[in-house]
Amino acid sequence: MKIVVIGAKGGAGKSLVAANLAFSLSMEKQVTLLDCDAEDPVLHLLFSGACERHEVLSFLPELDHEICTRCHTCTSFCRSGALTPLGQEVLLQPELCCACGGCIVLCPQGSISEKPRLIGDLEMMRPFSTLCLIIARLRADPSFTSRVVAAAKESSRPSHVQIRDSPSRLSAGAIEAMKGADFCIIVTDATIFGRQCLEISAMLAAQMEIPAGVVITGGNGTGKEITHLCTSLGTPLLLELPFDREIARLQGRGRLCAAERPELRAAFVRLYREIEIMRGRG
Amino acid sequence: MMPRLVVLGSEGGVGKTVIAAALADLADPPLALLDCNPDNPNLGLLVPHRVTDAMPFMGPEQARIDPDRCMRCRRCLTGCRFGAIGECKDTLFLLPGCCAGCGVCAAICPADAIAMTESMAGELVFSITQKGRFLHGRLLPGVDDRGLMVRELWRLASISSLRDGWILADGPRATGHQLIYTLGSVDTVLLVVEPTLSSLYRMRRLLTILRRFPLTLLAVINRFDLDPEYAREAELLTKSEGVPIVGRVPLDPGVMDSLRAGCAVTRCECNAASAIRELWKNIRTELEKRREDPFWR
Repeated sequence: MKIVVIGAKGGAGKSLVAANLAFSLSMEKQVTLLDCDAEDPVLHLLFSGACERHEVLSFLPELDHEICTRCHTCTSFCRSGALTPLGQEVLLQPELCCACGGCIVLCPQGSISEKPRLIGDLEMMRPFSTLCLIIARLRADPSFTSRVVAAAKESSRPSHVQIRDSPSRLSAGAIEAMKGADFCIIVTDATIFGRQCLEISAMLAAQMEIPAGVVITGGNGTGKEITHLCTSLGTPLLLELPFDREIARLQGRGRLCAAERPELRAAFVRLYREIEIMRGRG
Repeated sequence: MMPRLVVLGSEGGVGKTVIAAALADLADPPLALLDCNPDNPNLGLLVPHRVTDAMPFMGPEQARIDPDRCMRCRRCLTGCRFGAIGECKDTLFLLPGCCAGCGVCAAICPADAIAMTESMAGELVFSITQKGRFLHGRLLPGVDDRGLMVRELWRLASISSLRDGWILADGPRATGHQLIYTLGSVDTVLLVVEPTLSSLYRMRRLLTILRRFPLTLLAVINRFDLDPEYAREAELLTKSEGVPIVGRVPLDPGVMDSLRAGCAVTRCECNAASAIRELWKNIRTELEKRREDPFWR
């Protein structure tokens, strides 16, 4: 089972839900928690343990000026500006390259080859024997975000339950985190912003044909309107977490509320069961 | 030059939009407002405005497959390094939000079935408030325009009649192209930070980016009473960076009430509202100080 946690609004509690769900499930299953917010990951702050680092490489073109006939097939193709004409010559600026590989395929002389380059890191931790945490961290231009996220997805074990925490901006990184997921948890809060966030997120999940459900944070029974909206969007309300100053402070200090409060742990396990049932129906 | 101020959060949910809307409520006209979150524009939910015009916004070129010409040779599928082409029941199609616009598929397609076309990325919306213009954009869900819409919003804000007034912007998320385009267009940043571990962690990262730009940096600690220990750490961090703290806003249920009512928090009488009034006064003082600095003239 692969579950992605999304939400177009920052601070609604995506990381809280992802981390606590993963932690609660790890009591009974093997779980991999992925931080797909590669531009600004924070999930490692919630766990401790030794960290193993793996490099994510992408390939970058290299031009052999001896073989190049200055036919400019590559410069007229390249849309990222990495290969541009400079008079008769071909100017290569690797930092602009999007690593699409088109120039290599198209060069009639075969004068362009590829050289690996660092675009990100995967930081792997094992805070518990049943929980594996993988942090995707971008080390290059944001155009490479989705590749680093894809590398994180590939490096997790298929037998594990996978929980992916996605960035709040529904950019390429978030789309990559959603791709291939079996279920989408939309996290939103009970404010006026939450409604819009829910609409945008539900629309995207529907577009990508991923079944979705909603978790509302800071509820306090104020989210009646949002409950109706959930129903009309076809994304059932799965869990409502009330605002609790104590939980806010625990989370703020990088502690897992499910570890401190057994009733919350039970709620997260129930959330997972409900998702399993919904998937079973689908 | 009139100030151009952006409210930036160290992370999502720290209260940037709430504070931006409250400052917009307190500021004197003429004031141009900008919402730099086209993925989820929500400043307008708290600022009364009337939409006057909207226009489509075209994003970067994207591949489009003509199913009538496609021979199902699948060369595009293997050639695309972004995994943007999907296959279902013998039909090849573009997966939403994946195309990087590189054009490889169009170049290698033997049937000439793929064209690179400008695609609709969203819309730009022009409105007026009681104090001046309000600009925002709305990207279609899942469209990643690499910050182009934010760049366009700043370009529009900088031209014509908007030039004379203040520009107050609700900032984007503190990552990526949207952030860089925004920082290149403003002179003052109001940083909103929360006394939490992740907010402080992200603040440190954000400060390394901010230091590359010639900006006046100011900071406000939101919900400062949530955790006194971390609040102290936030003060130490900003002080060590030479960023003055211009406000401390308490955790206040009044903020939730204003959010439910859909108005600026300064329209409700609560502690947070008085703290934000104080904040606004301090921002003005800091900007007055700057006026005497020859660098900013």
